[in-house]
Amino acid sequence: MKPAARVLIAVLALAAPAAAHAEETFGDRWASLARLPAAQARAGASLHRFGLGALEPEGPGAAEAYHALASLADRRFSAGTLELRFTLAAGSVYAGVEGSWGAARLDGGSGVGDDPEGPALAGMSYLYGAGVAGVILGTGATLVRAEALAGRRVVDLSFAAGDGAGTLHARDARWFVHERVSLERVLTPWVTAGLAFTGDLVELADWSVGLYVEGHLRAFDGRRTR
Amino acid sequence: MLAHTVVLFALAVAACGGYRPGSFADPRGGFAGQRRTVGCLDVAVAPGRAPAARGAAVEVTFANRCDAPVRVDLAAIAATGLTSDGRPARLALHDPRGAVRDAWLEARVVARETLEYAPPDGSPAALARLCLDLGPIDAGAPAAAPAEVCVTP
Repeated sequence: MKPAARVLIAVLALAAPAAAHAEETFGDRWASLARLPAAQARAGASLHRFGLGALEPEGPGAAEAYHALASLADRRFSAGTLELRFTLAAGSVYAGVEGSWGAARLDGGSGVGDDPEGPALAGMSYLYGAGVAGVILGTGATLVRAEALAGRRVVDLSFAAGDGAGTLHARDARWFVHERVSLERVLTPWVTAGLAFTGDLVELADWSVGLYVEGHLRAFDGRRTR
Repeated sequence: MLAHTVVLFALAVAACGGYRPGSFADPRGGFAGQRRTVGCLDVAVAPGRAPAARGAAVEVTFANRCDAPVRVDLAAIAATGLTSDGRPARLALHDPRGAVRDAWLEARVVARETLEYAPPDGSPAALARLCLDLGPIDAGAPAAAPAEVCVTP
């Protein structure tokens, strides 16, 4: 049987896993389930606290706004994002990819710099993509995950120029390496939910906290033994 | 709206809950027939429907009650019977294509197979009673005690 067909069978089985009956051909459905890869799909939401580097504005009046935007290097930002990720496990270790996107804001108001007539932050988006690898500890109803992520984060900002001259744009794009610890609860053999805390190995003041729900193609990821 | 979403999520999680050990039931209802627990398997055997059967057909429902996959060996089930005139009958699994093989059943999953038993020489048999020893069905379990079930085909 082709892998795609197996995955389709698994999806159908997960829709009603306790009804994975096989009456036409011996074992055609049920015997396939234990041969599926231990894949996981996760959806989550996170809150991020972070800082930015030096911004180089583009647009009308960019030169005048340069110094005002430079002050943002000392400010803190918050972002609320949604995440998706896909991983493949082998025993207690796993690896995969994840992506996150959402909106961000500047802590302490949208004003930039000391000049009240200066540019104001009008919009901000937060996006990242990363590779992830980790290890699962424990086999009971509560699991602990320790993992590392490496990827690229892009924060796009738009500013309303204070004199009504138009809109400025700036982008902060950087590579990152994060460490993450998660506490996860097994809800069913195929579904877990968890709380994750993420730190940045370079920018130590940056951190994230998030909640997630994860679906597992194999029951308990095939990790448990009888 | 939030409550609606939470309820939908809870229902989705419940639907993915898998087999509950010892329940002998799935979303379709309770397993039909005689019930036994053998190793990691909850097994039920009921008379089966196989219009073209040469012998007696049984429907075997088996559910993995453990958190790990289990190797199920349906071919190892031993069968004996009584003919309609009261004579003991030697029976074997009727599997001319050799399709019935041992296979892994995922944790907390339910499966169902219809098996046919007939005299080893393939001759038709009218059976009044069919008994199966389910002891060997869990191939990974230590030598199990006999777990016999009998049905009237």
